[in-house]
Amino acid sequence: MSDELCTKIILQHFGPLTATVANALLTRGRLTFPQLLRYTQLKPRTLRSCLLVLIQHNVLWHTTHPDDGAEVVEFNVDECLVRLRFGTFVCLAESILGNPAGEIVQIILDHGKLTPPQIFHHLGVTPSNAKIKLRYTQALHQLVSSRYLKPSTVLSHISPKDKLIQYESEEKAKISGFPTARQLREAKETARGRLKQEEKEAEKIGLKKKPQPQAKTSKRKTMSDMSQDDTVVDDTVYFRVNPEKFAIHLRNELIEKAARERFNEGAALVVRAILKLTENNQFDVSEVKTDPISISNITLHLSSPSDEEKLSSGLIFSSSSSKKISNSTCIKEYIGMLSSADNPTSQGSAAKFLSTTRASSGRGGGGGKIQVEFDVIIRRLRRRVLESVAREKYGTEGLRIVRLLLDEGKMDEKQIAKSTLMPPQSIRPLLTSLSSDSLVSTYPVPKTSDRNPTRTFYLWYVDLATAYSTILDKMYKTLFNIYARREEERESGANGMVKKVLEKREREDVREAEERRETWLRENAWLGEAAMKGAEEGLLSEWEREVLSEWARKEEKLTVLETRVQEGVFILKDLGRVFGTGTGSLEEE
Amino acid sequence: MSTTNKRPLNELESRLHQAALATANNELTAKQAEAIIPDNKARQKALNFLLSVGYFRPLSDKKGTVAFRAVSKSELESTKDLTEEEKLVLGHIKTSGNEGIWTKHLKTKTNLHQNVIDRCIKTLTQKKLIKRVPSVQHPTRKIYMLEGVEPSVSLTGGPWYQDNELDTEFIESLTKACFKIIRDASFPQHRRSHHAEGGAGGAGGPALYPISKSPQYPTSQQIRNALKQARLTDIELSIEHIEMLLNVLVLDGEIEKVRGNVMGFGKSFSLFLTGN
Repeated sequence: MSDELCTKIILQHFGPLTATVANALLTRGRLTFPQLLRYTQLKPRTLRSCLLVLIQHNVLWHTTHPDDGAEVVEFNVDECLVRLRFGTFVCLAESILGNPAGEIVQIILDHGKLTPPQIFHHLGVTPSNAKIKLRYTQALHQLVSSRYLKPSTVLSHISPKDKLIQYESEEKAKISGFPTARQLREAKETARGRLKQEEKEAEKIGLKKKPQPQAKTSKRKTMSDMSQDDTVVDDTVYFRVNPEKFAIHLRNELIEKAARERFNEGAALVVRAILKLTENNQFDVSEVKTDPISISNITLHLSSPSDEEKLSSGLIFSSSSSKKISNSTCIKEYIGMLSSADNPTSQGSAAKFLSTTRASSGRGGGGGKIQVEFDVIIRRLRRRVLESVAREKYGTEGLRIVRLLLDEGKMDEKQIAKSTLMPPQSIRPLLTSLSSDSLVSTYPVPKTSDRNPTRTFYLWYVDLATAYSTILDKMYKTLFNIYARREEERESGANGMVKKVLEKREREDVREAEERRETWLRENAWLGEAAMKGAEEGLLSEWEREVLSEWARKEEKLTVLETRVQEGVFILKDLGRVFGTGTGSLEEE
Repeated sequence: MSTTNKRPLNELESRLHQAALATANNELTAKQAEAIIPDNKARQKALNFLLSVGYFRPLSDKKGTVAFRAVSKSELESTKDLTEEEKLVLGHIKTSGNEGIWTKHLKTKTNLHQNVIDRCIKTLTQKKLIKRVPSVQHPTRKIYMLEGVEPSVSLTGGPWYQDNELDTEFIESLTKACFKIIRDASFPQHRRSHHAEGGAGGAGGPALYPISKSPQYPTSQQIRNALKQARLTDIELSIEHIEMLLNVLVLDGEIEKVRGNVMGFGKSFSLFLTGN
């Protein structure tokens, strides 16, 4: 399903020609240039430029075929799906690092990858205006040093799969005798680790550190002379956006939201403070915990009056009417709550947000330091996606069964009926439909050794990996449908009028007239209704405006929907990498 | 056990019969009988008569010691018109107690033909000696037990069943009541209404009790008492029943279980704030 979605994305972002190329690659796997020519039936020149565009935008890997040395290209699905999040990236960069950073990120996203001089060129920054140039250079430096941008290396264009297979077979060759499943898994892990290490190394070289020439590749020889705290941005390195770094912001937002839902605003505030304070050392969503941080540090961060007000209003002390509760006491209470200190059971520890390290370095009184438990939280977030799907499709009854099976493991129908207090005759069809959605699976336990299906018990359980991947598939399908719907609305909404009106609006004279009208209306807003009458006619009729606003409303609805689905995809796919898998597939849980 | 020689019991015989009925299980061993009537001949005669009339039934355990089980007069009256087969069937139904017995099991135990069993059951039911009881677990089985015996919980399914069907509405109303009790105890009073309306969507979300002064979360016993006071139902609910309801709420993600407070007895349930 993600294949069709990728084609749609490419179609929307790059147009129909590239979409045919993408489609051919997605349906047929890696292809050589002549093969592509045949399947796409494009002219060689067109195809070549299509490939160039896609490679420039990091959507294609290329590699030499191990057998005959022919050059083949391969589609990078993950990179393509990340494109859906580009808008968020720009927004995040703007809100975190300011407008110049946002502009830089946008320019880079528009062009795939760029060197610093190219960025400045596209932004229209000339060396003559030193002040503006400085602002952008600083923003760029900040983006690179905090890894919002990463250098584009040779390795990032080569499909990692060949190497992975090669490393894996190397590891497997080391195993003597018949390999066990565990050894095979370990071999896979080592291979993956080695690949990741290599990538890291490559990116480190690309990073600009210190003005001294590196003779690794011919690409970078000269260094920028703009020096800031002994590191500078290497002018010759191509930079691209690092989705991983942006992903941590998305993740942190989700965690904060979860804390707000579970407890209240005050608790969310504390979580946000901890995440914010440790943000600089979070690079990857696969981290298990944040750095430990002391309570006094958090208190210091949350000392503004509005924060204090929020913190204290969220707690009810029985005798609080007379004396004021200090801020640090409140924070300690919240931390206790967030780390499930009142529930030292296994359920309690599965529901915690924070943990306390006991290994405090000799400083008594303050206790240990606080960490955010990403691993635990993400596990819960993912489970919550599963539960909400169950609730949405099968109501509380479905949710009850799924939760029971998640908690208790494998069970048969009668046990389920007993624990959930539901009549068996309503459980049976529910289980069948749940299993058709892969939310639950059956586990056969044969009564006899011949494994005859008629003499077999079937126990129900939740196979998390299958359930998650099915949900993810459905989400991609939904995204695809949203795209299709949007296209349909634009192409033939209101009997095709939307398209015509949109085209008309794009005309030079119409746009100017409309802009004039807008400014006039804004300036004379105090006139109220009268302003409408007095306004210039513009070149769009009343009816055309209605069509436009109707279309905009639909567009907005679709976008909101898309954002929600995206959130689910993010939790299931990107955060799923925590549990293994370097290349973001869902094969292991 | 013919009823031909009908005469009332003589003194010795009735003494034996009374003594047997007086014991806990209506049984009398040969030794006990000896104590009552020391004379060998008289005892033998009395026992033989009692056995022939049907007031006594011979029993023997594994070790071979002989004992007698007394049959009360009324019991004898009701069964005296029955055929041997009917008595056999009735005996098995009787031993099944309040669990009842399935006709299929009856068949294997008695080794009688199905038709015979059916006929026996029919006459026994007509005489109001046995009754058919529905089973919750096996709705299709024909299960019989003695008239006047209350069916066991495993047959009726306990308080959750009404006319052999799970009373989902009843369960739902009770779980809601439990949830309300727990919610009221878990959240501070004056902000609760706010929470009930808008959920966590309110301005700052609900205010909470601080953890150091956490409220006394209700135990299942307390919830039981509260439900009793609220007079929601006439059916007596045990702690186990309440815990079944609470487990359903836990499964629904509405509440969560907390380790019992200070003293560590009883289970507390606390609210799982919003279905996280």
